[in-house]
Amino acid sequence: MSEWLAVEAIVRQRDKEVMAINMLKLSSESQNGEIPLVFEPDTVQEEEENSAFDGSCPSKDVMENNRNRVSNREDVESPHTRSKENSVEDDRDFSEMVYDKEKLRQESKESDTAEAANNTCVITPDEGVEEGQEPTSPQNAADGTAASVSASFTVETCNPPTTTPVIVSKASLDSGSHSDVVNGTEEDTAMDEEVRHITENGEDEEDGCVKDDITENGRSDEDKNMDTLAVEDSQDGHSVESRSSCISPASSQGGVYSTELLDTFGLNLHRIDKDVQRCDRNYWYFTHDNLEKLRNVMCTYVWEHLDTGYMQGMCDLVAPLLVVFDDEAATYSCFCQLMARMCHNFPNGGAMDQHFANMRSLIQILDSEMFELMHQNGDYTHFYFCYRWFLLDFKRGE
Amino acid sequence: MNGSNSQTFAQSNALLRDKRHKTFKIIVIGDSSVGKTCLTFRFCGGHFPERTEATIGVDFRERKLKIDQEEIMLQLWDTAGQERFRRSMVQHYYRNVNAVVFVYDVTRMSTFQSLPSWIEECNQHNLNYNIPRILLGNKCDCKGEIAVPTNVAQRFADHHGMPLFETSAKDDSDCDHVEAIFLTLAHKLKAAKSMTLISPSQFPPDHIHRAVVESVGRERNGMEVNDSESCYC
Repeated sequence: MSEWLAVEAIVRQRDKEVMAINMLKLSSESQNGEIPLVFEPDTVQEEEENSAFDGSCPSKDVMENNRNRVSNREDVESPHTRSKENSVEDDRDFSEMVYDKEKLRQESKESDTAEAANNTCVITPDEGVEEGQEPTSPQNAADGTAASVSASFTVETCNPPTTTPVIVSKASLDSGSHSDVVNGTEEDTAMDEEVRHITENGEDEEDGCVKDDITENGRSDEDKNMDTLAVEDSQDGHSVESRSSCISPASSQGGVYSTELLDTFGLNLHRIDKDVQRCDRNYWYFTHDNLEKLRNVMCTYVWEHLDTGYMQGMCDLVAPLLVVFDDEAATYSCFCQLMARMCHNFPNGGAMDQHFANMRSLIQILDSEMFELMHQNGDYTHFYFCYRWFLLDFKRGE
Repeated sequence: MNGSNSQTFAQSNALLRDKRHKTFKIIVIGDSSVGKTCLTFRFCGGHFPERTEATIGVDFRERKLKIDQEEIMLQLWDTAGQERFRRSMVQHYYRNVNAVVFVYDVTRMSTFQSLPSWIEECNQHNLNYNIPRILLGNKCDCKGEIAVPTNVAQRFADHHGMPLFETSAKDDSDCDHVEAIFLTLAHKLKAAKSMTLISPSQFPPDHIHRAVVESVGRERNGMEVNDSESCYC
């Protein structure tokens, strides 16, 4: 889970960059001249370059500036960006709150991490912009931002104190900079926020010291692994195995995720977000918090099965499990088993056509009158209306 | 969504009694959560469905209309938005389709931007370019959040030779609009139908039904072969 949380942060950052660029386009296209406050692309470019220098050593002033600048820019936009602005503001409040607690030494480290993340993900957005593609909507990015912050909270709250020794032992890997154990998750959250703030400005920074950055990034990912691992360890009991298996992917890849991977996972995240919001929304259990659990389970599954990816209907299969277990880990493992049986029904497997054929034969043999009726009254012998029944194991049978 | 099947069957029975109905198949496509389900439900069910869930596969909605003293049946195929989800059934969506409704969400630019891919998919499956197509921008009631300017959408629609409608399935004052849009489509279809009766290259609508039955029959045979194969395995 820690891994996809890390990737999610990067994806979110990319979305934000694309969104900022979209905004510029929009403002220069449609509102040019009408509102005096519109930033011309060149002006903003300059500003970003300026603040890029500051970005390597973030201070409160810079953050203050950023905020003003961003909100100025958003004021220019049509009001639909308001909601986004609000959520971003919230994030900032939170990050500042955490920020106050941190020491200065943390700040320099955070800036390193930010640069690292910046270098890994800056390539595609730039290309996308030049080609004029605008794959993400502002709304989505805003949703994602808000959601992930609360996700971090979830991790934090379920992090029991008994895990302290585990973290300490692993923190030694991290060249000792991670002394503040209890605040570990908070730090990461703060880092995420910082990454977002700074990369927004540091976009134009030259990636002169790529090697250093990569190692830095790897370290930050391991940090994240540690924090969430602590949770897993306390739940599973086999700490050594899970630790090694979870840390190794990050370190073997050096913590750098390919752009294809980011693209794929980002696309899946958007799909998941759309469907989680709508999943069983009439059922009392699915409050905001529990939808967050559902989302965690779903994202974890998709992260572990990226080749399968998210497909509509998966949320519906997770939902009843979550209601019964009310526990993310149990739901996840159970869902994995369930999917072993059900995955053939999804478009990648061919079982659905078989189901249709069986259904057709059954009706034709058992109730030929009915079959004739279906023949005569429009094209219903494809039995597509059974699709949902088969796919969701008759969950939404109505 | 709820009860759509029972509704379908009830109407099918009614249809059996009166075989003069012409059925027109209209598919509604567009990105996920643009409001395809709500639009079709508004038209066929008469009200805005609160808190709908993601459509799985395809839902069928029907509504009987009386145009020029003749009753016709509009059969709306409300499809699932996630494009990869639909690959297995997508050919059938476009088979014998009489009209296509492209839907985007006026509050989300990305849904507008993916319209070309939907149109392309439609073109790939649809050899007959004469069938009516319309472009529908939904969620107009979110006035403060509109992300797709009308002039941009209009330019796009003109470029593709489609009429553009901006509407809202939710807003009650706009519901007449939804109704009007589909009625316009129905009139168009009926007019096209009279044209197809004249044109020798086209099947008359009566024959379309027969064509459907034939194709299903072929498919069934294919499936049975599969069945026996799997039994021997």
